[in-house]
Amino acid sequence: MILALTQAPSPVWYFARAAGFVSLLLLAAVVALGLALTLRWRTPNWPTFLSEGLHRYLTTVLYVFLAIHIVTIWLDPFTKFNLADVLVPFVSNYRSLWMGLGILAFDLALALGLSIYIRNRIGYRAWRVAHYATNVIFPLALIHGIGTGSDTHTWWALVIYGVAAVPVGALAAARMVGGQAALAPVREQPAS
Amino acid sequence: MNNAPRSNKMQDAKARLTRMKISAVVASIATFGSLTAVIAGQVGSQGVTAAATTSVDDSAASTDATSTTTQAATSQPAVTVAPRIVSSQS
Repeated sequence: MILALTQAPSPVWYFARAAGFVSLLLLAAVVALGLALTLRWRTPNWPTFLSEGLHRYLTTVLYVFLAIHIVTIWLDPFTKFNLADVLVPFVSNYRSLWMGLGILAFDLALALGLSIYIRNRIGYRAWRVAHYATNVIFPLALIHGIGTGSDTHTWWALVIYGVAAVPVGALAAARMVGGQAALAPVREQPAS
Repeated sequence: MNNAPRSNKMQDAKARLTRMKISAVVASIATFGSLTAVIAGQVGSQGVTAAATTSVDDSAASTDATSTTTQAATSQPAVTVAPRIVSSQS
């Protein structure tokens, strides 16, 4: 038993942790760009076109790193999580609450990502209303990282949390202050 | 007449977006690699300390404390493992 516990952690465990941080940073970028779009923020050097394109593309990259994060945690030989532990919120007995919040954030993100494929059926307005669920994904992911993260006590992890949270928090505050004006006219997207 | 400059502007914007997408992927991979190295280095340096603690503190009574120290140092979850080991032994 002691031998098993004193074994060096597998590289898979390092990948899982690193992928978690990259996912959080990407999520922050995606949410910040989404908020910037909602606020209709643009400059001559940064047209809306760039925000839209990056918002969609970084969402795809985010899913890739989330997949790495989840698969590596699932495959880690030390923790021995089963599939339900890493996909169903609050099932795992390891830091159940913190893990559950992260899984909930992932499930919501996945559902919203897939909802793009039914947007034509449900209508753009309904899809956009559902898209507001993204407002809870970032806080859930951040709390998950701080609560369950093995590196929360390190200075660099705190820097990452700050880098992720400050711009999103500032844009969310701007959105709340000028919220209704920004929300008012919902432009129908042309069918692609 | 005015379509040509507008088209050029659009092409420039598309090219810029493509460059930004590539930069984003490169930055993500670089961050992933750097963080993996930082975490591995951090765990490695803590593992040396933990190993020294284990060799000094070798009594049976202190087994649990030693195991806990080592787990904390390697940042692997301790809570999950203990019940699984107990259940596999029972």
